[in-house]
Amino acid sequence: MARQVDADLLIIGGGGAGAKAAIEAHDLGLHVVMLVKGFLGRSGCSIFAGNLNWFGPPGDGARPRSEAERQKQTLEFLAKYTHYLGDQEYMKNAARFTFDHFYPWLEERGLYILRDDDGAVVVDLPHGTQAWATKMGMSGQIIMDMMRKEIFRRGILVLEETAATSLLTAGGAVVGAAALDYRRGEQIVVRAKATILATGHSNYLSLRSTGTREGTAAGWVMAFRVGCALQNIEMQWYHVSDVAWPRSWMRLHLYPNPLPGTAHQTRLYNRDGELFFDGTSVPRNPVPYIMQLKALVQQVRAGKARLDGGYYTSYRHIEPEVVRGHIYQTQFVEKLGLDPLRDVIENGVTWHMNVGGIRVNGQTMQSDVPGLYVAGSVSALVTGGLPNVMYDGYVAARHAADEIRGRPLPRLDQSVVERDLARVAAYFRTDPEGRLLPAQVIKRIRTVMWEHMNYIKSDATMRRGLERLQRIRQEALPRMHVGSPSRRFSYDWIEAVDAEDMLDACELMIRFSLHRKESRGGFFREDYPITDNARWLRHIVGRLENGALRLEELPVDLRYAKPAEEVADFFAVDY
Amino acid sequence: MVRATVFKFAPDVDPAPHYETFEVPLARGMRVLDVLEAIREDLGQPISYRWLCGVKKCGLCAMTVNGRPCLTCWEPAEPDMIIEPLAGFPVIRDLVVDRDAVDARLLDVDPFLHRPEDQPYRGFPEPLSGAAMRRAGTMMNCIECLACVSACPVPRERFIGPAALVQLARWAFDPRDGADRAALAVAGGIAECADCGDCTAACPAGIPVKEIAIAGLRELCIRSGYPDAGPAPQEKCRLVVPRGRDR
Repeated sequence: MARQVDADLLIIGGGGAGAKAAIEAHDLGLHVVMLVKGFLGRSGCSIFAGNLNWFGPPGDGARPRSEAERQKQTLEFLAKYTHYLGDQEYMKNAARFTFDHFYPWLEERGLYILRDDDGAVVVDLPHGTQAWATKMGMSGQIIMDMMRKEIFRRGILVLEETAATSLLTAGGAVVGAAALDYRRGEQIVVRAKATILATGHSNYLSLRSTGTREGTAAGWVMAFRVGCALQNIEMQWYHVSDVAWPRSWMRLHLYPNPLPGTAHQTRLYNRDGELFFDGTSVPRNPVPYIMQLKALVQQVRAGKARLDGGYYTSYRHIEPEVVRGHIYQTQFVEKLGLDPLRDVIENGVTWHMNVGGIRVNGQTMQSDVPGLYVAGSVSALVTGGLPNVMYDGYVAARHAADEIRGRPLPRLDQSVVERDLARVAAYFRTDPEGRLLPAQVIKRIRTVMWEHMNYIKSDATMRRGLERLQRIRQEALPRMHVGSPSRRFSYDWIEAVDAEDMLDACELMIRFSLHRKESRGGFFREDYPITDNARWLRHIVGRLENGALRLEELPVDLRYAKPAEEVADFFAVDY
Repeated sequence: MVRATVFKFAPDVDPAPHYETFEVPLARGMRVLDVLEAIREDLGQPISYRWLCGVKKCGLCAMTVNGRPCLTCWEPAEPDMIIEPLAGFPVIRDLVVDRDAVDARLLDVDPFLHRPEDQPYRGFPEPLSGAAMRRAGTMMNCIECLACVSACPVPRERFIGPAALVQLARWAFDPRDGADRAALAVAGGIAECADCGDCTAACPAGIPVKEIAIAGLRELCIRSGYPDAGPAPQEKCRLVVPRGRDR
């Protein structure tokens, strides 16, 4: 029998969005319960946030900017970052929050934004787009450690190493969630007046990913199953300059674009030692990540690089004090016995962020299903960013608090609860025929996605990927077993649940991708190598109807920034 | 090939701990964590362990490797390794330990900025120089992996431990902070520190725990009128180490 916990507000996820929501809701007087699949503030994608959006505050003496100018720069940047699929009204509000709330709220509590010895905030030159907490590459970890402690200080109930396995509905509304505490081997039911889903990016779907084993798309799938719409989930966002090896360091990002205190950016060289990318040569785009990706594709097609290696980052032309003093990654390069000022470092592509996600109202963070709010990068509003996701958490908590104040706890639908508990319990099996650890099945899924749904893809590769995923579903899922009869810290158990969620998410992602017949930013199809704003600057939205996926296209918010081209060669545009 | 002998123990089903040996191909630059991943994903052999980032941010993959505490995502695999749970912590299962008691002590040092009443926060960005924050910034490299706590020979009953002292130093060294950090250092038993330096040696973040965190706190204690916090005499080092916890 599952333990039941009651809350005013349930928050699923312990990254920036969930943590900010928890603090805000608690301070508004709500009884908050958090479910965290890993450790609060130590798992998920927020700790990987290396840069913080800056664009200069209004009174920054070094680089004075008007509010309007700052907003325009931020919007252009985020619009390109999201290939013009982001919610622009939302982005405007989040940019304002960044300076009005995010930075002062954290700094008042002790955050240290890197300064030079004269006290000026260290930024990239000449644009001044980013700032850093202590060092480039450390911002998220430092901020999330602060958030973790702020939450424990408040005595908020945090259930760590406890993964939500489904959202529970009653009468058409979300009334809580079922969860698995894999540390204790115990199923839990949380009943709540409102729920905020904040499970972060879903990039552990491919063999090379910046995210780690928690980022399995459970958030997308849980929301989809209760009737939420997913939007633009075909839009995977990649990192080009993550290290090729060792394996666990694949998420170590050798930041290619704005570097602290210098106008230089890293350079990329191909197999033959030819320079093929330097961000400073991309005019009018201060953060040309996407151009780096497009440049790599051309190298791969010319046989001069591979997606998983054979090309290299160089810091040789960058000031030694920047490389040694301001960049977290330097120590890793040195640990491999390389000299970052002399040697080049081999890179590979990783799946990094999602542009798309769960479709929500960007003003309230409400989903399509009553009782469910969505915050952070699991939603479709923008491509992550720690200030943005904290804005989401802040807004979601405030709207949820207004909605549920004075309301009684909802009634659970026991048949729904029992069905989900039984589904998860059934995965704890020790002796099916031809045993496979769930970790082995997950690796197979990620391999299929790497081989067939990678950055370079086509109708044919994606259909082959779908076939292989369907075979895994039929042949491998029934063979999954947990490696021991012990229920203590059975990560196998939660991975078995994850494997099924990942198959659902990957199949959905491919079906969305087959629908979009163009190339755009992080989405490239060899069979449609044009960016077609006239036809495809549209959201692709899919929801579950009568047990099947129904796709539709909906208009995009372009009120503040829009691309100049109607139709363009994919490699010619900088978004 | 890499040969890894791994500690296995599920207290609810196993009568006693035991070891199992696995062999996996040595990959380029392979870390200890990569070996564990290969044992599960490629050999299909179950082992329970924690990791949440792979790049020295989460601080949760610390274990004992060939008798020394280490962060497994950071240290390279060796041809022959014995991998055991982080010493000095209760085992939940296999290589997963219960950190709760030590994590709680990290909160005992009041790890929050307390601005003096006459120096309220006046808005972002506040006046602050990089030079003034340098020592505190070094402390911020701490990811609370607890390798130093595992290495520390001083009994925990009267000593809050090196990780908590680094966290305390992080705030004590911040020029914006006005709390009585010296009192917290004394209450945490800073005088018990044996000055052996095992914490510094174990720290994967390269923090000079003994030389800067603890020495700096001691200076602060002495300045604040707590002379007993001063450096331990050499003989203390010799006395405490052999009596320390079983490592």
